[in-house]
Amino acid sequence: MKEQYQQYFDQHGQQDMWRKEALVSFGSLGIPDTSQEDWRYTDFRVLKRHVFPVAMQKKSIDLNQFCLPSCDATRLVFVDGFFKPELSDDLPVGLQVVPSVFQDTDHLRDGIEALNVALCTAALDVVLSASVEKAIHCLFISASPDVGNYTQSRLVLAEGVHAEVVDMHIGMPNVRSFVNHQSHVKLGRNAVLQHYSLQYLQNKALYRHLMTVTQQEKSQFFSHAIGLGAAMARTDIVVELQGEEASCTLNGLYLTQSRQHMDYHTTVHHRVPNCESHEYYKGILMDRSRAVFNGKVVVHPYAQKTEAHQQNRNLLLSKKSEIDTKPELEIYADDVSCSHGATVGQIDDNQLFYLRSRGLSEEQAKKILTFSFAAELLNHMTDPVLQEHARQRLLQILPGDELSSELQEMS
Amino acid sequence: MKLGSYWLLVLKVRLDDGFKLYQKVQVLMLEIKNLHVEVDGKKILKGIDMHVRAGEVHAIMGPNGSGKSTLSHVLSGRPGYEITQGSVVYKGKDLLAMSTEEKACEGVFLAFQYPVEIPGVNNAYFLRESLNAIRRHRQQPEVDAMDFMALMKEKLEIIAIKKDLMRRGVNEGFSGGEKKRNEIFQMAMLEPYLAILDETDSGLDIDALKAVAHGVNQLRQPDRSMIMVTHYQRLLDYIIPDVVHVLADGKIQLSGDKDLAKELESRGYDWVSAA
Repeated sequence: MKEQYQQYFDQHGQQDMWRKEALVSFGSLGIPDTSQEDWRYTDFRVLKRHVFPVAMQKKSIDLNQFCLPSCDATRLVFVDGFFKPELSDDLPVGLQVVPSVFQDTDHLRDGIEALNVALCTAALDVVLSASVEKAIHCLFISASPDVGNYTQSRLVLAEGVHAEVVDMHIGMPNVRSFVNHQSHVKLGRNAVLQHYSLQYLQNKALYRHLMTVTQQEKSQFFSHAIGLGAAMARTDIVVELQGEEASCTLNGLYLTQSRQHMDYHTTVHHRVPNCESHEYYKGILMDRSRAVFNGKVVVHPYAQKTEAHQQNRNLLLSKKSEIDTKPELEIYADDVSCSHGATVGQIDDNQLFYLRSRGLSEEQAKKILTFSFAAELLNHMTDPVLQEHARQRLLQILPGDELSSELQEMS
Repeated sequence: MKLGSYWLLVLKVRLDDGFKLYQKVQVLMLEIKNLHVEVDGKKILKGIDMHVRAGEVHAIMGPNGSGKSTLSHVLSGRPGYEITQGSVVYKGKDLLAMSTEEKACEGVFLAFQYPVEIPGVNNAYFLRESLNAIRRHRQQPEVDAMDFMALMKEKLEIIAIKKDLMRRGVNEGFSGGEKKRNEIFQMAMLEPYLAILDETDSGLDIDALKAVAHGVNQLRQPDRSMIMVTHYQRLLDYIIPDVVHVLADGKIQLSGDKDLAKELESRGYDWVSAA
């Protein structure tokens, strides 16, 4: 496997030292397998059988074929891992697109990350010293079959800067591709970031997103992760609370169908006192799909007065779906307020009967109940346009007739 | 001659009125024949016979465990009951063969003893979906948002329920009285032909009871029948029934007019069993 990527490497004269090192690491780390605790339920062995090289042909794309949210934002478009300036808005001050932003090869976690560092084709580098009015929308389109999309982004927010950044991953139907993205966030004092990670890939895509966040004093990080697509998806979010009174909120919603597999691993490190973390993930599982949630909170020694709360709720709509949920708390300080919980349930028979006794068909009643389960998290999304867009996507996936449009305004 | 035709006309009007009344009395809304029901192999109902005509209000009273709730659950189609014998005919159709939603669409309404909370599903939205599902079934045009709001406003006044409750999730955080009032409000909106009120008085204080009873009385009309299932006579002080049935040991032991309820109240249910 390494040899095949090496071949690609040699052909394209990749000279950067760190890329070569990363490729060597890839050789030694390999694709993670289920014997590793962190990858116990998610088997990416397909990456051992198939090579996903960088796209050779630049594909032209008509954005109108996709149902995109109409936001007043700075839109940056990446196709098959390459930046498309002709489809993108002008880059405002503080933003640039470079070949790579992440060149640290000493602390690679796994082979997938190593591959990203070795092969990265485009990276968005955002260094903001002042707040920007418009949100930054990064649209990653996976268009060609059997290629890897190796992209990165770095978001550095200086003291007091507010920003909204959206990563949206979409793709062409029936394209088997590998989306390997990583993003690294650094928040200065009092900085506030609303981050959206919207995974709306098509049914055959493979997806891995690795995100690291470090937060300084009184900074606030809000993560909204929506996962509706891909055949197999894995998201890792690692937050380091390094300054006092920093807070992070991790919200997530996943919906899986047919044989989809979706995995969310989050880790929050409370390294200093007086920080807060709130995590709320909800999942809806249909057919023979499977999801994994592993939320870990580590309260390090001296991180007193920590407040950490975590919830994972799941709705199983079929007998053959499976959720593996594991909330983890590791507490090494004694004056903290922490909670965690996980629930797995089905549609409530009494609620179903109540709706049916008022004339709604069983299918409609189930759709309404399922949607209301998800709506709670959608309502946490602070961007109304993205919220509405996510809602529509969700309603399209849920079986049953169309619900009347007032559902949105009334819910 | 002039006078004679006047009296003829009077006679005709009287006859027409009488015929209408006769028709009304004759229209059978619900006919229960020899109904036997089991739950987990245990016989609960052991041969119920009942006729409810259009416009009538029937009260079914009985001690705990007599089968009152089972009867209302079976009529509304709640799962978990096995009908071993008998038939229920509603407006000429086999009620027991209908699904829960079909019953609702055909005009059967159950006011729940314990209305279910559904957080996240907006009350007004849910009611509009229901109303339109029923209207679609009856091949009537759907109600748009504007007309729905107007209709809702009209019915809210009848039932005297707070408008802002409609913006909340279905029964979400409602008090006991608000939940029961919401049931009657839904009934007002969905305009059923047959309403089954299951222990509508339970858990209500006297003011809430009066308010709910007032709402129900407003909804009495010649083409709508009601079956009230209740343990206590006090509900019947406010909603005067046409017929009172006393259910005990899975059978209707006695039927009579509203005075039967009073007698029952003073003598207790033991009197029925003894008789």
